[in-house]
Amino acid sequence: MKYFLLVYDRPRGALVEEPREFDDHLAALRVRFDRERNDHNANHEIVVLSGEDVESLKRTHSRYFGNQDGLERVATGGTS
Amino acid sequence: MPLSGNQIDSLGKRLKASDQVATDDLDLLEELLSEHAAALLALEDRLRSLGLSPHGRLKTSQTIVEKLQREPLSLRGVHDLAGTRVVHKMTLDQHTELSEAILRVCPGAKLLDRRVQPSHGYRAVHVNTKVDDRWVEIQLRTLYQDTWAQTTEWFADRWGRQMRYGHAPNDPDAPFGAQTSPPYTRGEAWAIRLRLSDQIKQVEADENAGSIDPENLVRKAVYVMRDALTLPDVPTAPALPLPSNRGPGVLGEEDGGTVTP
Repeated sequence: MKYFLLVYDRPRGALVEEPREFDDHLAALRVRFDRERNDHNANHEIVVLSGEDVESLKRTHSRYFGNQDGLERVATGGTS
Repeated sequence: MPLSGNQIDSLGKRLKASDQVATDDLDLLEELLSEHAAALLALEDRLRSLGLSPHGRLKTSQTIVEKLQREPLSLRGVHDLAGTRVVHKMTLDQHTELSEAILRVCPGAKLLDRRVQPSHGYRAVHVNTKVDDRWVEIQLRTLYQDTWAQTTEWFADRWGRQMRYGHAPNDPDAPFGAQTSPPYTRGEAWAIRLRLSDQIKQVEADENAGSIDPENLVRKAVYVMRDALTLPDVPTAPALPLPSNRGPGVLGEEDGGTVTP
């Protein structure tokens, strides 16, 4: 199992940086806590997700990896 | 030594009242989250024993404070400080069977069936269970339910997180994009998404009854949404090690969606 630190910009709907991978959950959490204390941008969501790899995270936490170009179609159920 | 109930309650009260969280309180909150991390990992091991691939997370410090300030909850009453998610292609009956299998490996767990009791369009099954005296929430979603939830959260991130709780988007009369025909406002687009939740519910009921129509417009819309966001495919639900003794039906149907075994 791996642990991935993500820094996500909510209004932009996009990751701020590439996911950072850790083998140890507590090590990942320590970095998350440190980032939370020092990143004062209220739009940033700093989270650690567990998973086999980044691709598997996209199955359950896809909003962090959303494709901006699909925005308009998605909002109306894809039928517009 | 784990934080005591009194320590957690006092911390919650201070977080509820604070404009800016004190450093000492951040230390305590991080300690509490680390305790939940251990519970989360132990629970995910149990879920993997069922052949599932859970993906977990701890709530961010900011969203914990926001939740405490938004809702009449104590910190001990926030049961999703740690949470993990399982998503599969499955029928509603398979979804129910999976929920029951999880209840069997989580004695004392509580089930909240948001298929029976949706939250502002959100549908899923949640199982809340205690591990080493710390609550962990399991979110079980079908592919349809997850697609709706993920795309809705994405819009709430952009147009205002109050949308998750049933409120209108920021600037609801603004056009949300230039490429739709007819042009939609944010508010109209949001209303369409709520209707889509009901339509997905019907498609799931039809497919559960064996009526799968590949040309169904709502079914197609879900897959178009996934393509638009380049979401990967998800696996079908695994064969479960223990058979279900229940007949067809929906857990919690009789009591508004909550089951405590």
